[in-house]
Amino acid sequence: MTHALSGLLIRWAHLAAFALLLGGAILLWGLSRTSRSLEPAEHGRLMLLAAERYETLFWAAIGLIVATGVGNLGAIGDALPGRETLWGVRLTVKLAGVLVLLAFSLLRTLLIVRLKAAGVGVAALPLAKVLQTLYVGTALLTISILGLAVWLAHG
Amino acid sequence: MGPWRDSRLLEWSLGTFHTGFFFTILVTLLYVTGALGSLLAGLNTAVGLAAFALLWLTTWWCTRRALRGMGGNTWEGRVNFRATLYRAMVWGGINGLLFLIGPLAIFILFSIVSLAGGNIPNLPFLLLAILIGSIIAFGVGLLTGLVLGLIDSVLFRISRRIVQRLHVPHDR
Repeated sequence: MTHALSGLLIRWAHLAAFALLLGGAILLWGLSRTSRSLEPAEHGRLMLLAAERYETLFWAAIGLIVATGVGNLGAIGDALPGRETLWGVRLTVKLAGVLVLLAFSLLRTLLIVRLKAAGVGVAALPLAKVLQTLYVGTALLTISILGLAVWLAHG
Repeated sequence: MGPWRDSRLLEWSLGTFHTGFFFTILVTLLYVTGALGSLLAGLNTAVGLAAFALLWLTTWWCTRRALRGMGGNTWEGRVNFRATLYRAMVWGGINGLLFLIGPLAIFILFSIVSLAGGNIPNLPFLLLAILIGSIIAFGVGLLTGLVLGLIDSVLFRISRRIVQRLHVPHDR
């Protein structure tokens, strides 16, 4: 495989994984809003089931993003601008953003696992609000990181 | 087994979180110190991806082993802080060793095959290198386990508090 083709595949995988994170978070947020007309128990079951599936895919995508992200930096290699440059500052902020997204997402997954494992009386929960907050937060963090990524690539 | 410990999602998410967090911190530190560019320039893409995949696999497995030995108290929320950190450090150290052993075994195998019929490998030197490498790998893993164990414990507690505020019962 040529260097250019492997570079292209790595970029494609990086973007596809980000699309999955963002699309999934927006989908879950929308679902939590639109399914409120269901019976509360049904709504709770649907949301937790969808959230659990998303979380499994989310972490697979995160692994792919980290691996391919390093691959993208590797393509620049020795020509990587220094940390004192504007590009360097943006990259450092982006990496910090990824760390924040990781910690926030682990908290989100822990909450989903706790709620699911408790076999909760989800009808009694302000579940929709909690899930909306979690997935809006995930979407906003992902958009911020994507913005920085676009800025790094074309800015 | 309790539902908490049964959770494959928990093992998968924690294992990936540990791998991703460690790797991102490492890349950030290397970049800030100016060592990243030259390091990546000398690294083959396939080798880099294989190294990440190996680290992901060993970290997931070690996280799984650590979680399964923690008992049901994690679910109840009453996490024994010291025991959690102890397990995180031990399994972090083991993870460091496992990550070293894989590439090392391949290297030794290739060395033996390529040297077959030629020079005999310098065995005492090789053993000394393995010993020193193992100590370093265990130490790095131990420290990483300590940091990640601390983060995990804090997030466990926060999630417990939130669930308590939602008045969710802790038992079925």
